[in-house]
Amino acid sequence: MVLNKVAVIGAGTMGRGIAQWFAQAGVYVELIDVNQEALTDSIKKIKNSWDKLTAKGKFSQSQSDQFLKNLQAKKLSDISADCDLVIEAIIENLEIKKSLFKSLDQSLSDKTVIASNTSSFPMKKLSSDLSAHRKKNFLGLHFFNPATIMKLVEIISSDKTSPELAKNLFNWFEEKGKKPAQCIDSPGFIVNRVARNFYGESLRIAQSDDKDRFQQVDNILKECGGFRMGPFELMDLIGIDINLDVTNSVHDAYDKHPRFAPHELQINKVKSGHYGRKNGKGFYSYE
Amino acid sequence: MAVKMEKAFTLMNKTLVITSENSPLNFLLDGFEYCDVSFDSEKSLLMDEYDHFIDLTLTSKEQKYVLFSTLKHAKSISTDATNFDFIKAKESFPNLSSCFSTAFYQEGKKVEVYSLSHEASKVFSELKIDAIEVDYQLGFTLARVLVQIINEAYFAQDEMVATKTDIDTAMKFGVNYPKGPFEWSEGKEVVVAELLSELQNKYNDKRYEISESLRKYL
Repeated sequence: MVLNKVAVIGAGTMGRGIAQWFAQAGVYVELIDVNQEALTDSIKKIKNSWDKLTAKGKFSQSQSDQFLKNLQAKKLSDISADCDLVIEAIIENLEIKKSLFKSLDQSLSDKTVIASNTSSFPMKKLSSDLSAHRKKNFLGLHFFNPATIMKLVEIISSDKTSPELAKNLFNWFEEKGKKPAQCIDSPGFIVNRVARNFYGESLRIAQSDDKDRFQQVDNILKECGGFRMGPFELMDLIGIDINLDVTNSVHDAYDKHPRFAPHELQINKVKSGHYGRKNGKGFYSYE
Repeated sequence: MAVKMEKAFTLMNKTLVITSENSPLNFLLDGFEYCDVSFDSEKSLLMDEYDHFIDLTLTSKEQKYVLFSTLKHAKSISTDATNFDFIKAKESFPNLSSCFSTAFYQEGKKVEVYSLSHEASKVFSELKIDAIEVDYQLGFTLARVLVQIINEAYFAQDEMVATKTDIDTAMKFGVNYPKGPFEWSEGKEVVVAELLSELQNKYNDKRYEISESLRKYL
C-alpha cells in the first residue's frame, strides 16, 4: 500500500497529533478545520514542537524542514480530491460526522479511503449514508493521545470494509513504526472496553471517598502491578467527567451490563463538580 | 490424592518453599537447594523434618486444600491466596498463618502481603522481594483489578472482536499496560477463573460473570 497524500479533518488535539505524525512519517498532509483560527494555532503548535525536538537533537534541521514541507493548512472546500486517505478527527457528534462523510463521498476520488478517529461511534452508523463502493473503503483508525508518541492505532472494520484494505493499512502502519491492532466494529473497540475495569474495579475496592484508600490502590497498582499511573490519579488527569462519559457510553452500548456499570463514587464526583486536575479537585486535591 | 507440585526448596532450616511451574517467582529460586519431597497425603511423614511451609503454588483451590490437609502437622503455612478466601480457609486450617498474592508478580516489583509470618518475611527477604502490608480482602488489590481486565479481554476474544495478540498489543501500546491481559493470564487461567468465581459468590454481582473461555478452567 502506498500513502502519498493524507488529509486530516479537525485540527484539535487529536487531529493535530495525527497530522504531525503523518508528516514525520514522510507523508504529505493536508490539515483541515472549519475554524481558521484553530487551524493556524495548530500549525503553529506543530512547528513549535518540531523546533523543540530539533533543538533537543531528536530531529535534524533538514528533517524538520522536510516535515514542515509535508504539512499544509487547507480549507475543507480545497481538500485534494486525489487524497489516498482522509481521516476525520472532528467533534464527537454523530450527525455532524455523517454529514461530513456524505459530502466527502461525493467530492473525493473513488479510490480515496475515508477513516474516522472516533472513539465511540460504530462504523456501521457513521458510514450508513455512503455509497456501496465507499463503504468498502471506509473504516476506523483510532489513534491515542499524544498520537506522535502513543504507538497504537486501532484499525476498525465494519462488515462492509474490505478485509484487504484493513490488512494493507495494518502492514503500512507497522512499517512506519506504529503498533496496529485490528478489531471489528464493536462498542469501545478494544482499549476503551477492556480498560474499563482498571477504573471500575479500583473504585469498588476503594468503596468510599477516602484519599488514603485512593492512594493505597494507586500505589499497589504502580508498585506491584507496574502501571505507570494509578487509576485515581489517571482519572484525575483525564478528567473524571470524561472518564464517566466513556464508561456510560460503553455501559449503554452493552445494554447496561453490570460489568461496565459506573460507580457512585465517580458519579458523585462529577455531580459535585470535582472533575480532576483541570479544576483542582478530583479524587485528590490540587490546590 | 497426591498434589502435583513441581518443586520444593529449602531456603532456611526447617522451612520449605513449595512452588508450581506457573509461579512468576520461580526464577528467583534458581540457585537454591532443590528438595525432592512427596506431597502424597498418605505419606506426609516425609515432610516431618519441616516446621514452616511457604506455599507459592498457583493451583486450584481444591489442590490448595489438599495441600493444606497434607501439611496439617506443620507449625505454620504462609500461602499464595490469590484465588481463594484465606479467612475461610483458616477456619479449616488454623496453621495458615499469613497470605500473599504473587500470581501477577513482575521482576523488581512488590508483592501484597497480609499478616506476614516471620518465616515468610525471611524467605521474601532472601528472595529480595519487597512486600506491601495490606488489610486482607479477597483477591487483594492488584489481582482483583487484573482478573477483571483479563476477563473482559476474554469476553472480547470470545466475541471475535480481536485476536489475543491484537488485544495484548492494544493494551500495551494504547494505554501503556506493562503486559497484555493474555500475557498476564498465561498458565494461570485457573487462578483467574477461580478468583472471579469467588468474587461472584461473595458479592452476588453479575459484574463478575465469567467469560465462556475462562469458565472452562473451573
